[in-house]
Amino acid sequence: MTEEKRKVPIREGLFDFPPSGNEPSHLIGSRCQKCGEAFFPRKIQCPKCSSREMEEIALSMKGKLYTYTVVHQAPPGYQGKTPYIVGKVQLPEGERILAPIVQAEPSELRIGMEMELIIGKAFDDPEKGEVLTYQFRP
Amino acid sequence: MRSVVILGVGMVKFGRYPDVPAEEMGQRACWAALEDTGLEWKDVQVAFCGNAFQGNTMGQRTFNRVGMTGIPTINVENACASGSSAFIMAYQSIASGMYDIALALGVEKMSFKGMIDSTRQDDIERPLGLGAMPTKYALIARRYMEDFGLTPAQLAQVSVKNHKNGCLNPYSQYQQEMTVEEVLNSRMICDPLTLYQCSPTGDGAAAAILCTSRVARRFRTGPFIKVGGCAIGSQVYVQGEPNDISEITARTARRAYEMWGSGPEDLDVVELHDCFTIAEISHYEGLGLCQKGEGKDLLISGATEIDGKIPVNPSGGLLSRGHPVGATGLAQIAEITWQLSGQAGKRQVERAKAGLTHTLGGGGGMACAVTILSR
Repeated sequence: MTEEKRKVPIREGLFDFPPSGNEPSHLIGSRCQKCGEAFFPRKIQCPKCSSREMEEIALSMKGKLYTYTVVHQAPPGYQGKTPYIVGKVQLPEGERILAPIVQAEPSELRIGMEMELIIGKAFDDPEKGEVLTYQFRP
Repeated sequence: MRSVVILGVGMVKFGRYPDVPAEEMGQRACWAALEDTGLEWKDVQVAFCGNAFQGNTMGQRTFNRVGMTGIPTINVENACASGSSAFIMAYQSIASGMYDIALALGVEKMSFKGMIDSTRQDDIERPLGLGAMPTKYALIARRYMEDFGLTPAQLAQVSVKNHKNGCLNPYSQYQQEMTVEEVLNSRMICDPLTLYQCSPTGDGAAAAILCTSRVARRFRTGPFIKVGGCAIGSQVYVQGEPNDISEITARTARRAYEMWGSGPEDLDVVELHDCFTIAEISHYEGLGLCQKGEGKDLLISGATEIDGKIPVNPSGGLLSRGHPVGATGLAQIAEITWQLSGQAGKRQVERAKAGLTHTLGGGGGMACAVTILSR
């Protein structure tokens, strides 16, 4: 019998974890109460207008692929397989999220295509367990 | 503000010097600048040292070797724009009337780490491999290709041009021509950027000595190279793009042009921050050498070749001359100084009267430095 691996988010406060009930995990962002701008990750002050009145929001699960690259030469510290895809996804709120693009072949990616947020495995950490992160897939 | 001139410049050929301490490279650049001016070290009243990775008091560690004269020494860190920021601080120290003679040094030893690992990354970017410099520029390149129809071969042409220029520059880390095919067939780093579209790592140092026009005449006869305008900028908020390389470049350049009282149409030569091929095309537009989206057309027209209408990176740029990050800005200043004083040898741009340097530092935050020199 194998013990099920412990799952931990890559950093607390980025997405709902553990997810509540059957609800999918959202990215947790902030919206400025003065100028209305939305941000990810959370901020305690608005970099656009400097207001400190920030409200926590759940960001949209879907967005559009703004740009992407296939990384063949991974930087030191990278924990996964190479090559891999990195993209920026533009959410309806206006913020663009830099994230791994998964479950996709580079040839099927098109700038502007719809992408969906998922929470998936980033890598295994010998001490912490399975480290989870936010990713996007077509 | 007082009028400030460059009395002299000097640099160490960029390359790999595993056995030479960074302090000695800086020291040798100071020697070269002093030799160019006829000054002695004791004449220098204040010194600024730009570097990104050399640790505490790099300036003092370097200048103490040249002579322990006790002058005020300030270390300047602005990532890849450290050297150019040090130059602008030196300019300000004289323009303000506080000092008459200042030295600005840029020095870096990169042999210990790759460009790919040169930027600060957080606890998410690093293990997920999201934040390395080539990745950031590849994302910019892909989007630019989509928006403006730039092709991989056009992108590679930037590297072809700058390597051709580097062959004419004895201070260049690489003196090797390459074809579009060779650039495209080199190892893929981050699609669409291949190895020869990324600036190399290396070691190097460059220095400039600045003073007022009045003081300059004490040491030699003119004409002198004047600092016509300069500006340092950081980011403004742009939705979704915390690191918008075109916005920061355009805005910083605009301030330098305003100070100069003239515009890009009056420039004869440019040294800009071609850390990756896409950066050069984007910065043509940011600096106002052409309209948005027309960078590739300017390149393909040949206008930015040494004999073109507006030569860009005659030194070989970061791609060929090399990019020991903190030294780059002063190497650009040295190149434009040589170009404007007819000392650029085989890469001399004809009748160059005004030139611009542009450096862009990034590593979480961003710094942009633009300086305009004129004869």
